[in-house]
Amino acid sequence: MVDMKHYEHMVMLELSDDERMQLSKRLDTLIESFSALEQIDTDGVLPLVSVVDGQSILREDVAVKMISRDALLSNAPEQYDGYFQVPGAIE
Amino acid sequence: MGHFVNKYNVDCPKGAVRVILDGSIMHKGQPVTAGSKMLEGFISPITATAVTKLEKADIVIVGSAKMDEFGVRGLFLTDKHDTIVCEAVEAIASGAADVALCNDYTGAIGAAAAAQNLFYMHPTYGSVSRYGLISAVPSMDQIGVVCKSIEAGAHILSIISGFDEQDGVMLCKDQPTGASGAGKLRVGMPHGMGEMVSQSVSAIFDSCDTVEIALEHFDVCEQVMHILCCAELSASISRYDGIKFGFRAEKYSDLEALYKKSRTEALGADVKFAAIVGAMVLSEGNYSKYYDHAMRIRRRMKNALDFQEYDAVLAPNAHLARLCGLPAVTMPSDAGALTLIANAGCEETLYSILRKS
Repeated sequence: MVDMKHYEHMVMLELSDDERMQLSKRLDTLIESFSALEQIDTDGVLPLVSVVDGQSILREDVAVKMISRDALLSNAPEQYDGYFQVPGAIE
Repeated sequence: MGHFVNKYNVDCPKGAVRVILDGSIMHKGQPVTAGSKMLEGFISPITATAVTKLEKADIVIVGSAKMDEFGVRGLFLTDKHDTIVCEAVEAIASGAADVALCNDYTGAIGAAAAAQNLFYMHPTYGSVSRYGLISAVPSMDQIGVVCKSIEAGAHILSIISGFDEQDGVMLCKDQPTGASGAGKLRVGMPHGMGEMVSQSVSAIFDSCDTVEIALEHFDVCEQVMHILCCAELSASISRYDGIKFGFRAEKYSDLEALYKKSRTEALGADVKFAAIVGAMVLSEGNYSKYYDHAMRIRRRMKNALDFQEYDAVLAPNAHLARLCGLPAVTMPSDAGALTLIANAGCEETLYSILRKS
């Protein structure tokens, strides 16, 4: 039995009891399907994180201005004097 | 508005190609939501490189299509015959646009296109810039095209492909270009595709040799997709915190409550589920068992493909293509949607096979 509340907290969600029950059932089914992977021996195989695997071309390590401060702030739910506005985090 | 979430008021010269964007591709000044309440009211601050390239080539952008939230629905279809309703596909089928740009990381858009007798052409991973595409599953995110013909799709892909330093994960410029079309091409069919598919395939590929092949771990593609996509989606949507952009809940007591209420109120059930699955497979105690293991299987799948033995592989879905970052065309057939996959950079091989068919 998966501790749903633990994972909800990790991804900053707070499900209702109904929603938690539904997703918990879906999760059980999914985890059961993952058992097909258990018998596969992957010792000595390197994980494939990206298919590009270090082939990509890196740009020069020089700062460039890609977007203005105003443009960035224009989509913020709340802003104040050129900054993102958030509730107090320190007592 | 029909298929559109945002229809532009544009003049379209006669004969011009009309392109619709799926709801996760940015066009400066236009709203973009990736189908999520989380991004309602968000205005694109930039234009995706792929869109800039189309505009420079005088292709007309006619608007953006409705989409399911972050394109995740296709990951959780319970029956292999199920398809999603994809408005970008419907727009092409109805004639509202000629080509759609989409990010089909699950393969479900391709299946929806095939169900409408259309094609979905997915280029090699890293060949089309993702700058301006709202990220979902970064190791598989790639802009591809829904189109009525191979020629139409190939034309659009030739315009939008190419190096862009604004996408940090792009391929080197020197890639194999694939078969020239000389001689008979060989299509590999993995064991277990079924007789129905075999008969259908013989009819489609009568100009090619078909060879039956054994592909290691082909049978567990779906499980590997679930683990890797959920892990990456979980990380991708962590940026939606109600602070910098997007939805913010009205009532909250402190910063943590702001995060939780904003995300809980704005994200849909499938996205929440993907986030939770992702958190689980990435968590201490499960990381090796699920995430790391799935990435190792992914490498073995890629290594199992031997494009010296065959020019392309046919598969009943696009999972293998997405996991291995390979170019693929999903197409209609009597046996349902089929996906033809070639080696990285060998889009021309696919076009050669399909033009001859």
